[in-house]
Amino acid sequence: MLRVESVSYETGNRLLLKDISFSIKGGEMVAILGANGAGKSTLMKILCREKQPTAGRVLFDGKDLREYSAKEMAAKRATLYQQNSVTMAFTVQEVVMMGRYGHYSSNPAERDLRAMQETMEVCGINYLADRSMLTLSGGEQQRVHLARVLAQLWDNKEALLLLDEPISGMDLQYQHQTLAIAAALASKGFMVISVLHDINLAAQYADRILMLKGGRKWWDGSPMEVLTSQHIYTAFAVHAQVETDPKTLITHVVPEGVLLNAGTFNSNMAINYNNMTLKEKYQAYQQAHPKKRILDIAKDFNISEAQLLMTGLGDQVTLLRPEMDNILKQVENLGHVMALTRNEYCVNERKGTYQNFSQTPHAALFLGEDIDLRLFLSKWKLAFSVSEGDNNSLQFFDESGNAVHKIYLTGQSDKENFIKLVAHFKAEQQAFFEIKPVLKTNRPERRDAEIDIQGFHTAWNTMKDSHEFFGLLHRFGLNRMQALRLAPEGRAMQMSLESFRRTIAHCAVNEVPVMIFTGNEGCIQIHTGSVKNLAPTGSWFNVLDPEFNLHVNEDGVSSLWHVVKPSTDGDVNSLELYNKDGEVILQVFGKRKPGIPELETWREALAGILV
Amino acid sequence: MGVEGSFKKKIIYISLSAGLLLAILFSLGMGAMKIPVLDVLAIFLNKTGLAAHITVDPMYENVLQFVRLPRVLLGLLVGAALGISGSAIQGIFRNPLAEPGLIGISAGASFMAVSIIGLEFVLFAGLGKVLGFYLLAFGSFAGAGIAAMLVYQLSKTDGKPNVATMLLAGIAINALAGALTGLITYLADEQQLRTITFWMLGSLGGANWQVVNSLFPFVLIPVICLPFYSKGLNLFAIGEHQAEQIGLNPGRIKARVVFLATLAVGASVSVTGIIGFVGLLVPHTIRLMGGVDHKFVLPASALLGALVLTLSDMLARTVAAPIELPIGVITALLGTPVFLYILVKDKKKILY
Repeated sequence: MLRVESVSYETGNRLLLKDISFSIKGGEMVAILGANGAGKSTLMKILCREKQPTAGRVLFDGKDLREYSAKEMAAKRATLYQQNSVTMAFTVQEVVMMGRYGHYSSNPAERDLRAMQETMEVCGINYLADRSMLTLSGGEQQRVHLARVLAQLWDNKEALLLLDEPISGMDLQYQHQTLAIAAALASKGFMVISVLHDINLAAQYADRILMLKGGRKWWDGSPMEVLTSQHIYTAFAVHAQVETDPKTLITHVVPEGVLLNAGTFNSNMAINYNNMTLKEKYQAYQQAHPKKRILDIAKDFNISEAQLLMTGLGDQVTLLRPEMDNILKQVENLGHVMALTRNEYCVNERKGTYQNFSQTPHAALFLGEDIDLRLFLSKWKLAFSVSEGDNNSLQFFDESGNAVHKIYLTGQSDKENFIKLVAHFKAEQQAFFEIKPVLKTNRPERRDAEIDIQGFHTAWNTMKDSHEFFGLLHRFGLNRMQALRLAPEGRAMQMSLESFRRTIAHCAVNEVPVMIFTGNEGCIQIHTGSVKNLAPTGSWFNVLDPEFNLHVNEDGVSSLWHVVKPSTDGDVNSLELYNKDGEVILQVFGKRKPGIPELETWREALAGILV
Repeated sequence: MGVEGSFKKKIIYISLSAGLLLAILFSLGMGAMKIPVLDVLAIFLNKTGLAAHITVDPMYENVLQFVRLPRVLLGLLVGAALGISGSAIQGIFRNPLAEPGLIGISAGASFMAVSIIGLEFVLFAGLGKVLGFYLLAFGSFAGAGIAAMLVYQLSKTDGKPNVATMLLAGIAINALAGALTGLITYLADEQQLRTITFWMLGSLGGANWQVVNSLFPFVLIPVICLPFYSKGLNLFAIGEHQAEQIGLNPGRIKARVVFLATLAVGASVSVTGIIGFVGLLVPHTIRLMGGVDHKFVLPASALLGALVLTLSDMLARTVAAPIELPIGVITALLGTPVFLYILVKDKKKILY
């Protein structure tokens, strides 16, 4: 049993290992994975006692590693180093026999010779026995050292075997042979700890994987638990697909290749690259990252989404005349479509038919059963249609080129009407032009002392309709965060982030219908109804229902509030997610209609779950 | 370790021992006064009481007992010391090009010796009368020890001697001692210069029973003890960390091996002056003949070292008799062609 108890290692003011704890018992094979500089080798050096931890300790069979003599250690533990060089012309046999030096004084005994024979055989180096080490290839040398290390522990049944990148330089056969030997010894009672670089070999042979990152233990568990796409990306910054074979239960990781254009990093080759049009760069990038979405690519290029989209003008993209209200009036004819509204951290997708279009001085409205939208058309500046294969959509952008709203055709949509619509609104000029992003200036928060807090409290407590809230902010010169902070007693309570997932989960289980508001500056999309299928993946929380999809990136959530607004129908409770700039990411209400009090089940959901 | 290998090693041991025995017999006979080999044998048998009835020329007997025997024994001791220390130091440094001189032994000894010769009448006059002939020997032994100690202490990083630092520290100490030696040489007069040059080239000319007796333990202890570190030295070849994992204390081995080598080489150099090439060439030749296992290399190097020095001294005494050549000249003259031959023939084997 080896116990590592909050081990840290510091050298020259750099903390190479931070508070690492784990233990391993006989019969286990643990693979240590991690990127370069994650602390793998340092950890190995502490385990093999080459270095002493600056904090914490390592217990080996209950005794501190430091209390063992070199001889005692050698009898229970052997280490195969990553780098092994032999400087004199020792023969293979002689080197393997070195592993037995602790076992005899002047002449090797029968069992020493047997250990040498057996280990040489299993490592496949019998035929090299009398060759000089200096004439062997790197992989062959590594096998000789493996045999030496095994020989050291050959008559021990519960020893600790430490392998620091044991298979570097070995061919395919011996990569597997080596790990198979290690796994076989582990299954007979050995403790094996091995640093590996090949994730798939680790998944295949190790019982457990310890993933290090930045000197910390990041994950520790079975290969299936530890090796997920997200973990691999976190540890190695490489996108990978992960599958587990249902028969063998072996996890396979297929990393996505990286495609680079030399022009992007070698200034001598940059002429071509710099002369490439944005369209060519976009296509090259798409080829290299087939899964990346246009929004993310635009971010990587440091341009707006609309600008990037315009590279398809004349091809799959058509610029429409910016007659937003007229276009929207025609959308009902498309039949069943999907409405998409997003902000930086949230995507709201709802399927249905656009119905009951109307315009008020503030906003245009769709008040349909399924599609429920508030549209601030003054922000809408660009309209496009995009047709890629079966994928047809109308996309609307603001003056900076950020998407405000998108409408995707579904299988049930009326495609002919779509073609008619596009033909009708197609702009005369389809030429590429530059979109200049407009910098957003946030009004600085006013000092609390300048605010009529008393009046604000009174106004909040006497609201007749929750819609008055926006006017309230305006009237008292408050931004949303400040308003929540200065709210009257019991009207705005900050909650833990977990409350969001738990509330949605409660609503899903108890079939509480909700209203989910997702918005940006140009559009608010409201989903009214139930949520059923919850699928969190990493930092993304997803609702994946047939007619409604929601994706929330919880990494972007900076605060979560339970807000209570009075109305003529009683208190209205909502759960509101804000980003670091104090902008709304998402709001959740119970399903309600004017004139009817809020659902009691929604109140229960909030009361029972909020933490 | 195979049957073939151990057989080969036995052959090498036997040939070396036989060669050494013959070389001793011939060496005893050769010189300004020639003594036939049979007479040499007869004197031995007589002295050991095995054949008391054989009588030999008493002149032969005296020369043999008071001139030749101590000289041959001195050659044996010094050769064994240089050979075994050379192989041990190469083992420690994991470098076949290392030699005892690298850790400052020779430079330290030279510096002290040259100081004593050059400044004899200025500083050491009083002392010189008290210690007589031994002043030079003790001084250079002290110089060898101090230089080696200094190099060893300088090489310590985190309390452990580091081989790379040891090499660099050795180079630095060598350069420093060399410069000081040069300075004193520059200041020396004609007579001193001759003495210095002669000392620097090495000679067994100072041999007598007293010298042999006092050198004996300094060589015998390392020759007996160093082979006990053969497993340790083997492990050094695969790396210090690896050695530690197999249960060794590399720091301790390093300290002891360096100590023993300094003891042997420092004591030898102090009585004979610097005899080059033996410490470098002998271990190489042994490795090329019978493999690199120190269990074999260490004793075999002692044997071959003794053999080489005995033969060299014999040549030094006879080639230009009655003039005696410095032995360092012979070892270098003989050693270099052999070394170059091996080098050309087996470049790869020798250098890595």
